[in-house]
Amino acid sequence: MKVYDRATGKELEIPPEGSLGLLALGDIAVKAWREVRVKSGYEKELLERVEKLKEETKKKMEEMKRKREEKKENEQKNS
Amino acid sequence: MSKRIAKRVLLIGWDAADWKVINPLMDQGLMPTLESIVNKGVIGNLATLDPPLSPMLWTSISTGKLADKHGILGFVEPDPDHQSVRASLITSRKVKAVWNILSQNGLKSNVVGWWPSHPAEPINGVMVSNFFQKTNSFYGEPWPVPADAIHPKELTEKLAELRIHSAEITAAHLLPFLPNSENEYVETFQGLYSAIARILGHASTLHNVATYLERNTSWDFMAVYHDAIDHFCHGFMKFHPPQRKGIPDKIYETFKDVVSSAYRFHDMMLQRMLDLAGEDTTVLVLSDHGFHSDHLRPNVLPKEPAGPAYEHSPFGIFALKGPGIIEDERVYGATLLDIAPTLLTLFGLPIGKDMDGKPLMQVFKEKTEPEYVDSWENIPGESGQHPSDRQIDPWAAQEAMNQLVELGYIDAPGEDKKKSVENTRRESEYYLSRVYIYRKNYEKAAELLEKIFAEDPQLRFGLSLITCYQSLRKVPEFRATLEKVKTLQGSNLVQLEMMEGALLLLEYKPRKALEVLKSAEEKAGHMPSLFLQIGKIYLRTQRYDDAQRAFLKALEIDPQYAAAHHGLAVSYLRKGEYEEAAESALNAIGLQYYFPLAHYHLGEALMNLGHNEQAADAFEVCCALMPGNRRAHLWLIKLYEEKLNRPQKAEEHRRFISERIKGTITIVSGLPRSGTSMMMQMLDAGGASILTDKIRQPDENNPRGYFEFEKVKKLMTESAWLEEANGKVVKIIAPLLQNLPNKFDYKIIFMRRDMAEILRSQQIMLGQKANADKQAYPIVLADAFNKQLERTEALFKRMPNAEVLYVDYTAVIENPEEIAETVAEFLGEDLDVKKMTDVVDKSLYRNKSKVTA
Repeated sequence: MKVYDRATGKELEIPPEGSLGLLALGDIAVKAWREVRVKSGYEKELLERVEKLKEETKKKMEEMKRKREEKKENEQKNS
Repeated sequence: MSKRIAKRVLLIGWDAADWKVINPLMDQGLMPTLESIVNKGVIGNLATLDPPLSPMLWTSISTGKLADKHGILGFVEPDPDHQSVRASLITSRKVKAVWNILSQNGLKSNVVGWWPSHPAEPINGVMVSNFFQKTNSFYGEPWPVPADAIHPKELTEKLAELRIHSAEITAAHLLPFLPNSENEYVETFQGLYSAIARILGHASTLHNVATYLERNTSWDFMAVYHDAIDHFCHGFMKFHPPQRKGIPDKIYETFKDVVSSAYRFHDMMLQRMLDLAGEDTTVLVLSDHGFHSDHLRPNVLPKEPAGPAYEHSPFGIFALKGPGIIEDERVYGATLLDIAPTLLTLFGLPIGKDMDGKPLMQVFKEKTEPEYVDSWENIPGESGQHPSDRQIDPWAAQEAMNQLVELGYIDAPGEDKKKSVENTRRESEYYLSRVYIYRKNYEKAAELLEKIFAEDPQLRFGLSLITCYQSLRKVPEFRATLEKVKTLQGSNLVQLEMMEGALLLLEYKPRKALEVLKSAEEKAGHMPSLFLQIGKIYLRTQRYDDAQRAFLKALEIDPQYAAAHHGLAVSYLRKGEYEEAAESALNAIGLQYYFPLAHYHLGEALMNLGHNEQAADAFEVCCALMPGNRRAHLWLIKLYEEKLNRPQKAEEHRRFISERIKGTITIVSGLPRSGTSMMMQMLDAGGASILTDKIRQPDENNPRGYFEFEKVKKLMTESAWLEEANGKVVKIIAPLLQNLPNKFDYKIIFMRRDMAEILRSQQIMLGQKANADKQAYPIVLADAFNKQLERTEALFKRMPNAEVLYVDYTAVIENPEEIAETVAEFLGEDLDVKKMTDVVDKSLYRNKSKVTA
């Protein structure tokens, strides 16, 4: 899929990391960008980053849960 | 059917967009697309409604009706089973939106993201609801489209692919928003970075859907709603230039470009939409309210539901271009309610008479006469509305609700769901009461507020209730509520002093009111409404230079304060500076077209400048907006008869007055010798129009004259002569008041004097000086007079058309200036207080009581 510059009529070069201008061009540009992402391996990197983020989030949630329970226990002891 | 003007209409809604932010960006060439619409079309302010809450406002935009009619009463609503609360849904909208009307007329609409629009309505076209773009899973995981988010369902798979997940937003996207970000900040401000990515993802999703539908469907009307500017502003306006006190340099430098970049991104998206729509499409860009971007940004937000709405400013944007639309012009006086009627006119369809707005006829090149139907609600057809028993996906509603909690619009529902539903119900009733206040239906608003203030005595409920009592002139209720409000947590001193000042004004005590307000000014001189109040009192007391200064101070704080421009116009007018008066009145009208008094005073200024034709136009607008304004009709009669040679028009207004307007008669009353003549003298000196035949001549008892009118004595049997008193002051003694007919309104100044003094004065007048000197107190007579006074007071309570000011004779003698001010305030006329004061002759206070019995 190709996207063209409205002013010059030339084909736009789509970077894997995208750009704001590309987002503003709407559905066609986004599809083209996603194709570039897959081809360049950027999509794989993105999914790996999300996996890492998921792990971190899970840990954070567990930590928060543990702290909440600790606090609750302390409150019960004090009362 | 009238002529269709637009081939098709593209409406772009930018929640919270404000010219104050846009204009500097356009000046720098940073919003070229909107600038092209501005240059080739018509623009203006779009006055918001109250309360300025987006789901209510966007529903008013789409229906042309206020919330009491359309039924969306806030961000949330109780679930039908009353077990919990949920985000407001389109199923709660009770009336047709413009796309329903278009549907039943065979026209196709695409509606994207409108708030609220879930579940999507089965309209003739496509609807993508405001739940569609929500993200509730990690990127790469299953991301189902909420049920009922898309009509027709066949498009679901195609449109789902167009969603942008916040995880897809990269540093390259964020760079224009954060050109000065430093890596060390990323960790600290992770929440803010994520917020930008999430908002950008949602905006891009809606834009992708819109561009897809633009290219792949045939449509007559397309409406795309973006909430991103509002979200960016709530999150980042505190960092927008100029730098505010308390914002550290580094943080300011990091986030100062977020808001302007958001606007620029919207301009870029707009360009794409216009390219796809084509030149022959009529384009309308608008917002539901503005957003304070300057010194009016609030320092703190009240801890109440919808507290962030205090950041909203009262004017949104309006920009329209296309075939048949005037170019490079401004439109004045537009409100959100006018959009639906204007859209119907563009499509050549009639407007519902039950719509609260009007079509903006001034935007069309060719003169167009709008057509009307009584109501679209009664016209059958396939409108695509949901059946009333439509069921909702509670999970989807919950997701939207979480976002509202995150945005700070609503509190997280408490553990006790029942309480949460109860709070939501009360909150909705509060918003409904504000809609009634907007409609100036204070009775209905007060009824609701009394109930919810009794249930839950919150400050904001009490303050709104006081506003109602103020407008209804319910002084004891005002006082009682103010006393209660004073005890509430969060009430601030300045606010209370302003209320106290308003109360004193209701009690016709302008001097005391001024003292209170001046004291408030010392504590907090940043509130424009405070200076407005002060200015109004100065106007009443004819201190025009002081009034002018006060209004200018209000305008220094808020240059868009229509009421202050109007006050300034009146100050100039009274000083004889007519050009300045006209300019200030025009400024007020430009900001708020529905301002009858501003049109009236513009008329006065123009008349004094000799622009009689334009003056007549201004008075006509005033009469159209406020048909009961007798003075405007009278000026029109004069202008049409004496200056413009249009006797027929003059006759129309004369007939209108005689048939439709109840006149007001000012009556000075009391017992004989209670000071009524003295009050008449004061009013005469002050410039009031007095009805007197001067048959009774001055004598030693009343050397300055009696100001009586012979026909008054016949009031028991004959009242037709009262027509002569219309708009004038007439003296009528207390026992005759019961004969006043109901056809007029009355302002009664009732004189009170010590009974012993009255009787002594009467005895002297009757030639019984000897008795008076002996201080013989006629107990029977005194008793009869006291009973008469009691009867009169009871009579006043039965007269809804009478407003009474009690004036104490001794107070006039001792403090004539203050009493003169009070009387002028009561009558609401520009009386000359100094002349009124000068006429009081203390030496005439001869019959001071020496009787103590």
